[in-house]
Amino acid sequence: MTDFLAGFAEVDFTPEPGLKLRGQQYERIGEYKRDPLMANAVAMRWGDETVVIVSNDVCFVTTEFVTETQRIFSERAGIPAERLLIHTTHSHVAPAAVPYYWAEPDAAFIAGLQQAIISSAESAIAKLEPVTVWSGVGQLDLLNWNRRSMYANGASAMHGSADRPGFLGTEGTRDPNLSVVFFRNSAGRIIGLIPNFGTHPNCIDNACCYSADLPGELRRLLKSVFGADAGVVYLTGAAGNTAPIMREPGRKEQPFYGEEGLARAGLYMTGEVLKILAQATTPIQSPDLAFAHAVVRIPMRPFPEPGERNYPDFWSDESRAYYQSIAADWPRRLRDESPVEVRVNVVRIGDTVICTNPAELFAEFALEIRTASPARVTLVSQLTDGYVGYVPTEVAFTRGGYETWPSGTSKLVPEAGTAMVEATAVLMGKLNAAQQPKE
Amino acid sequence: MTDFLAGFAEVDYTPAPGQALTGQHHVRIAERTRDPLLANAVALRQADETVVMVSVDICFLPSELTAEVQQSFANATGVPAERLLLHATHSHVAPATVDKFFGDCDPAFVESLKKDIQRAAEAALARLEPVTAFSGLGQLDHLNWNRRSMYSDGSSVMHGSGDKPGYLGNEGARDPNVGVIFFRNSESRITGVIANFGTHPNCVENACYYSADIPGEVRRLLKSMLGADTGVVYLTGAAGNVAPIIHDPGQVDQPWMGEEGLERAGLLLAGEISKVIAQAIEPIESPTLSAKHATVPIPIRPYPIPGERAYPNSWGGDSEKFFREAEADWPRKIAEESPVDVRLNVVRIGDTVICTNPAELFSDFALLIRKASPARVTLISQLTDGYCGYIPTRLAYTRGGYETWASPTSKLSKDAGVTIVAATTKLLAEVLPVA
Repeated sequence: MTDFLAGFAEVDFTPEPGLKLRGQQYERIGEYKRDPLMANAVAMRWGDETVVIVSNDVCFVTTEFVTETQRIFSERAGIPAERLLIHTTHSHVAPAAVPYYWAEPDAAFIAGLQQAIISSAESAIAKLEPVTVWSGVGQLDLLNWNRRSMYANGASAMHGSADRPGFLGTEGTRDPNLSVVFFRNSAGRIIGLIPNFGTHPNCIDNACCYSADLPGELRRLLKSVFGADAGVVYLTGAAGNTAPIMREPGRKEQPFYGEEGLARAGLYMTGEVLKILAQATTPIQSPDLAFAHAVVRIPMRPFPEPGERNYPDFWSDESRAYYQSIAADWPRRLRDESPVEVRVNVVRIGDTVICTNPAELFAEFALEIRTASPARVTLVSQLTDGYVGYVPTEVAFTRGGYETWPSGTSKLVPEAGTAMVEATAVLMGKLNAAQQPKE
Repeated sequence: MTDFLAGFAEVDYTPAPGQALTGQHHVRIAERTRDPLLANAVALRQADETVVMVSVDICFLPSELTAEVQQSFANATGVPAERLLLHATHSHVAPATVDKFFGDCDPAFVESLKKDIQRAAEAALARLEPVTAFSGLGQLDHLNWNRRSMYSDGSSVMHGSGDKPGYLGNEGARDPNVGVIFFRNSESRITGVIANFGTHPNCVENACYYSADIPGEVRRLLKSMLGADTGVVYLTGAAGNVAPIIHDPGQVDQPWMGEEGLERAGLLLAGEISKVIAQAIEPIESPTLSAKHATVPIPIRPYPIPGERAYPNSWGGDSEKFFREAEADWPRKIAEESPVDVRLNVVRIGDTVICTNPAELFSDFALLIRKASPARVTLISQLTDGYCGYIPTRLAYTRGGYETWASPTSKLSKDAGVTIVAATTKLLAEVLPVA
């Protein structure tokens, strides 16, 4: 046993039915609870360093919400505010937590969510116990297909049909890595896991219910194996352009989508997590805990001219009105909100790192972070410590499509991704992650 | 939903502590129960064809025992005796079913076991329900390393050290395939899984307790995820020369052995099975059920001459006695027991087959059966319908080692493996003719 401590806790913040959901471009109400929405926390401590990560089953939260929650936590726990990392898994079937054209957040829900995050973080700290730390990387061939279809006319479209004339294939890449950090207590029992995979975790994104979706199903299955009190802190990886939906000419069915697809996806991902755990035969040697944090100021981009590829298109009159309202407000935003403060963190546990950012990051940048990482095992966690919208590649901006249209969900300059990769690389260098062979 | 029916059942047959355990070359008595020993049954029916398989957490089931249970089952149910396939998972921490295998069996226990196996088979029949059948293959990089170490002096040794001078590497192959068949009922719920992987499933083989070992851990994990009432029928694949033990030079730890190794092995295998299930999106089209059976007479080989590589060595003590008694009894065995009736089966479910044999088959032969199989998914189940001992390759006989030493655990002619492959291939062609 080492002098590394870890503790896990969870708090159910599922509200009563009736709240508006966030994640699709039309109004939906959560009519029933399919499965619970949770704040899942892991606290880690080594020497004087403490880091707490709370993964929450909502689409995303504002940077202001994160700041306020961190401040309250810091005052109560006496731990520096930036040591509480607040992650959102990106469920599309959870109540809105950010003002949006189709859904204003419910104030009571937001207060309850904040309380759940703080409470789970504090409980995780209260449960700190000596552990050995383990980590490993597996790969999945399925579940995160690139969702941007390229066409011969120079355009790309999110979930564009592969049967449309001029379909050239998918625009970008995917990150197949499934990384896991897990902890055994003095009895050798696995007390908790941090799985990380980059896909929109949205098998039932169109439903009118509350659900944690894929992370919830993974959690359910892992708890069935390791016990109801085992913590599961799922971190959604870079998923800005990937989803569990296939784009092949002639494809009619989506086997990893819908209720049956969710069961399959959960089983598939759980299977790989179990294999990673099995193959991690030696714990992380000298699992010291280190943390580095940076705030990168990235400008908002100008609103495109009509005719440019990334000038917003729309799917409905409502959608048109939404983007028109965005266009009207853009000059104010440029003046009042640019540059945007982008929070980037790296947590190092021995030879393993968790790199976080607040974007819906394209998978290409996750691969660049992996390349830059000196760690044996690298986790890339998006939507952590706020929300700065999609961060597409520069190629994507030249081809257009939803993720590149300026709005509340896409606002930073095309160089944002590169800036975030560079900042993350600097933090990793600063922490001097152990030079171990990469898995 | 098709007209294909399946039903699963299990019976806990764990006896009270005190039984002799079979599987190691020394006497061990079970002092406690680590986890339950089960007879896990699946019944399959389509139209007039019925096949029942029972996987039993035990080292092996002698041919006389399987024949008796089959006949009793046939009398009770009207299902032909050869349509009940009885498989032994090969736990080394389960009670003896024969005498003089480093401890004698308890006749009362054996009688009770026979009844429990039949009870499981009949219960599975009683639970037949309409299902859709699915199948798929995965692969594992671990858990079944070839356990025969080759040395430059021309010998091979079971679990020979990779650090011994003259070590050349492993003698033979391994079969990485994990075959899975599973069934969904009318509510799309998975009612049962047939899982197949070729390794000695023995992470806790030296212990003095009852345990189903790897198949039990796989069962526990799959039931955790899929539901406690989900059937899990584990079929040990060709495992005569493979085990969860690594023999690399410098290898000190065995991460897949012992209690911790068992936990790991279960997670790895259950994880891969889960992935195979998740990726089996389309059910088996036209899941025709058919089965073919053959009895192949294979001679017992002559006792080797001292100095031949395959002449038994031993580890002394009880082991020495075991081999010397076998040598003394060999002329009688040849006179009275040769040729041995080796029972082979192929069960077809649409484009998927289960090929069975009663051997501890070397994995090289499993690969040959796979090559010969026209099926999309092929499961190979050893130690089914009796017990005829190790079936090594011809190469293995030239190099010696435990599996080639003449004894009750290794007796058939050196061509037996090729004969089994050829006969299985013929059955495959009969149940699944190539268009």
